[in-house]
Amino acid sequence: MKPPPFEYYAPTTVEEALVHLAEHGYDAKPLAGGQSLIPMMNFRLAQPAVIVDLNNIEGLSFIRPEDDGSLAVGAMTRHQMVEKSELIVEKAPLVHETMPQIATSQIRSRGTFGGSLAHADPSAELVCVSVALDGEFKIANQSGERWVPAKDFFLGLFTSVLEPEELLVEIKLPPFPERTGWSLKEIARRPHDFCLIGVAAVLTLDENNKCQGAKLVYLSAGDGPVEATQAAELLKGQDMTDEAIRAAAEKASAEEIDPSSDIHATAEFRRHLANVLTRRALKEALDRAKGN
Amino acid sequence: MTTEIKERIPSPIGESKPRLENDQKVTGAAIFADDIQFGNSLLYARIMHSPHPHALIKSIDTSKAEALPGVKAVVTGADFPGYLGLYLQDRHIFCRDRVRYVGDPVLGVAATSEEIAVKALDLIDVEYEVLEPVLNAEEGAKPDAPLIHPDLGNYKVANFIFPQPGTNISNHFKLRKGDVDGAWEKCSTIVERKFWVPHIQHVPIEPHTAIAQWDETGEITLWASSQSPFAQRNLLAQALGVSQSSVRVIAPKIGGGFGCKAGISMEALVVAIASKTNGRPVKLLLTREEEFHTAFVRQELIAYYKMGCDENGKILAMENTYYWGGGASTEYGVNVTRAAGYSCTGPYEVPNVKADSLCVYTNHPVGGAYRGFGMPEMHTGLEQCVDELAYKAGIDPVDIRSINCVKEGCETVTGFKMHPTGLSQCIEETAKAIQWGQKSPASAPNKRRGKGTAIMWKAPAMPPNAGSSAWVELAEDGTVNVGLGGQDLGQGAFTVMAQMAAAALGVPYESVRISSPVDTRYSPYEWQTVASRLTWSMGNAVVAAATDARRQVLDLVSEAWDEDPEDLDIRDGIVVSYKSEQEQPIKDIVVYGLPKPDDQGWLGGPIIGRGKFMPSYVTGLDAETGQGTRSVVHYTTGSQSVEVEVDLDTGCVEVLRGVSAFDVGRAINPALVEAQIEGGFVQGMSSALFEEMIMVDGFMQNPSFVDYRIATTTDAPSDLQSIIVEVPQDDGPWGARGIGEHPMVPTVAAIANAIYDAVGIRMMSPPFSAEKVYLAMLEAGIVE
Repeated sequence: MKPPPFEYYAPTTVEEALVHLAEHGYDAKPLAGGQSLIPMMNFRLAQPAVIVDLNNIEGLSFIRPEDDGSLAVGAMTRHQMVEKSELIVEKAPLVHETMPQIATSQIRSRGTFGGSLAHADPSAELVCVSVALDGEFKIANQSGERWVPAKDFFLGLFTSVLEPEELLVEIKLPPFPERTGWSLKEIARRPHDFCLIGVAAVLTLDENNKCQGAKLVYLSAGDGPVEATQAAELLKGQDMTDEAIRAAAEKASAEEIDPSSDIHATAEFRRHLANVLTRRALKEALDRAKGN
Repeated sequence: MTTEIKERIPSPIGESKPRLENDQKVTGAAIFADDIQFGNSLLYARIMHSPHPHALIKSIDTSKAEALPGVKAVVTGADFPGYLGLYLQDRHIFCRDRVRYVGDPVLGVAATSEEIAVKALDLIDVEYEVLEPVLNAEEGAKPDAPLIHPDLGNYKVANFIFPQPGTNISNHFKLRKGDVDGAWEKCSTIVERKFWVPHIQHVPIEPHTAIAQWDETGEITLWASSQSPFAQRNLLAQALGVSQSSVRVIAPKIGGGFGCKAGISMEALVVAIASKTNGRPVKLLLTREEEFHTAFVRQELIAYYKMGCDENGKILAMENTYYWGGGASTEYGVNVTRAAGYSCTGPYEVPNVKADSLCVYTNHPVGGAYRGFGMPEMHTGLEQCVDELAYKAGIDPVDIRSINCVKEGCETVTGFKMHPTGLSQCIEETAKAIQWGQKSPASAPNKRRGKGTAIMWKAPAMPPNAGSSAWVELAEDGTVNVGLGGQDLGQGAFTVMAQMAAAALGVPYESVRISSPVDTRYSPYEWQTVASRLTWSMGNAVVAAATDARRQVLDLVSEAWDEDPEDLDIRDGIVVSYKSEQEQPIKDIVVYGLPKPDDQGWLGGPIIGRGKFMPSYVTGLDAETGQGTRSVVHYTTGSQSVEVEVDLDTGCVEVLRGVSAFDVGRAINPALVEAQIEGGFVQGMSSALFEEMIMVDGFMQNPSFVDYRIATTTDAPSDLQSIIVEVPQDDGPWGARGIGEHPMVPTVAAIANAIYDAVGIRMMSPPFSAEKVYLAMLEAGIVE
């Protein structure tokens, strides 16, 4: 099927886009890479009356190092550009590792970094990774802009703090502390499918190789990105032994995530996989934190 | 000079010629059904589908829809009382009194736009009385099951199909050979297992598309993405009560078929709708969701196997029962169950056999032909049981296959003496290539590797007298046009036919064209593009036509040159005499003929060769025992070995390598044979790991590519090896036999056997998802 008729605007500046969004409110949808919105429109699951196409706005596609050591990524930066970026390799290795796991190369050549985040799909890798990295989102409207931490950005299934007249314009990724390791592990029926379950782990060691801080964030594990704070708390100050890792994985997979059953896997099996993947992710993060 | 010519002309047979349609497909010039333009007169059809698995239609009110501006026709089952069906006429074009599955076509609408047609459907009220559904073939076969076809006894049926009126069993194929009951005590090892193979669908990338037009004189034209233009012509004529010659089917390029575009399905709907549109053409293009229920699906199979061998590994007996879930209509599917009956032992010589292959109606989508025609489903369990028998008897799984596999001259399960076959060689080749017996180390401590082998046989499943015909015509420049009625589905049939015509006629391959699209008004008859039969059957017809044209040219030249035709030859498009060493290009001969000496008139004229092929030797089988002189035309055989790695923690299965060897008789085009083998392997792997129509209470849960997963190129193992074995077929062109379907037949079992070798579990039901594999390992105590 094709979408029902809609009005179409193709602004060339953010300001112009914000004018259209303010004017049409809930009737309008911004169009980024269209990898989710267009199929939803074709299936008529979404029927926006107005489309504000962001693809002609030049200023929203960039990857830029900031003075404070963080990295700024423009919301309309294509996945493929992020995937191939040397800056990302150097400053955001977890993002670099994530990119090839996002769908297929065809989708990555069109899909955008900000579009994926604004869509707030709990099975999207970047949603999970942005929380694991303590990312910050710059949101603009006609009266100015605001910054929202990633963990506060996602409200639920396909829902974020974005108001209809607002646009996500930039994502800031802070630098890792010293002795930090990372990992993203996921399992899907086929590698390019929405995963059954996945986890992003970030681990920082102190000078005694004890855990100074850990972050475990899950995808496809609930209505949004699910952060396992209790499991991370269990690790804090501990030697990263197999027992400690196993305990954290048990805690997170049994108590902190909330996966559902569907035709692709039961919730129970997803919890089991979460347990396995958490251990693998923490071990890989540990190796990397030690510089192995 | 002539010797020189002989030396410099290689035969195109055995050459990997590029596919004829490459340029058209790469440039976008290729015309598919949806590309054909009909201008403003075109109407768009949409279908209303049954929302119930089983119900009576109490009333239909179409008045509001008919009043909607833009609606040009509303057609229900009341308009078309005729029956449709290839082997068993058990289906109406639109449902009449009863719906039999979710998706069953209840009525159709034609309108000036698709949107109006969809709107019109919303305005139609249908009242149903819901009935108890049959959701499982084994349950459906029981005497007290709800009846899906109370009129089964009145349906017209082919004489080799045996319906059981008063039940849901639309075919019961019985095989009785030797003394099974007496054989068990001689067996030192016995294996018994039950398997379930779920419905899957062909999912061609191009969905079914058809455009139909009834002109004012009653002539019907159908443009369809089709494997079977002639069968569709015939089935439509039968159902509508019109002459075959009043129905014209045109079959443009096709974006994949795999069996679902064989026979007839949605094409009849659009033809029926077009009967009410006063000559305006009507188009019906299925959505991906409709593809899962408005065309064909693959039958499901519940199979029981019992087999035993002696201490030397010789298989002494088999007792197999196959319950085929045929869906709401089994008009085509009954023959799948017959094929599974006469091939019930797999490619083994077994002296004592009892088998029952039952086709059972269920309230599921309609089962039809799917690449392999029952053989992949049947071999899934059979080849795992043979594997298990080997392990239990302490015999190597490859050896048990070599010991028992069919060999030339042995008696097959139906009593037919096996023709020459390279199966033993195939088994040896795959075992060697996979390094059978050598365990390779896993890539991680939590992983295990394993190797598995499965072998197969499959015969073309068709009526005994399915025919092919062809013509060969030559143009002024000596180029050759071949007329044929089979379809190129991407398997390369046209390319192979051009190679054969060139070789038989004596012209360069590059000068041969295939007359397409196939059009039943102008193309010669072909039964259907199914059963892996074109290279062999249509090939024979093309060779006969080319040989006929060649004979006409040589007769003419022998008269003009006053030479014996035996001394003449056509080489590289030039007629040569080995005696007088005269030569003349055929382009100077084939349209205008040759002058008689001294300007005394002319000889010859336009050359057109004709040829046909129909097997004449297939006999009937006894209804009680399944025994007969010759059950089939031939069997293609082969072997596959795979290596997998299983993750103990997650149950994920990765297929690392796939090795296939098939006896194709003669590879006319080796690159195309290899492509078929690789494609078949990946399709088989897809059904082993991913594919399943998940049915709950008759409702499919995953009718889209988001939820119905198929293997893509990125999922295919990078290490695929195809080995071509050539033991010639006595009546095949240059010895060739078919290879289209066979490569996916053993794949599921080979992968399952490799999983067993890796972690020691038997998988009784594909697809082998990580969850199933993990739970099986858990149950077996392999993991904690």
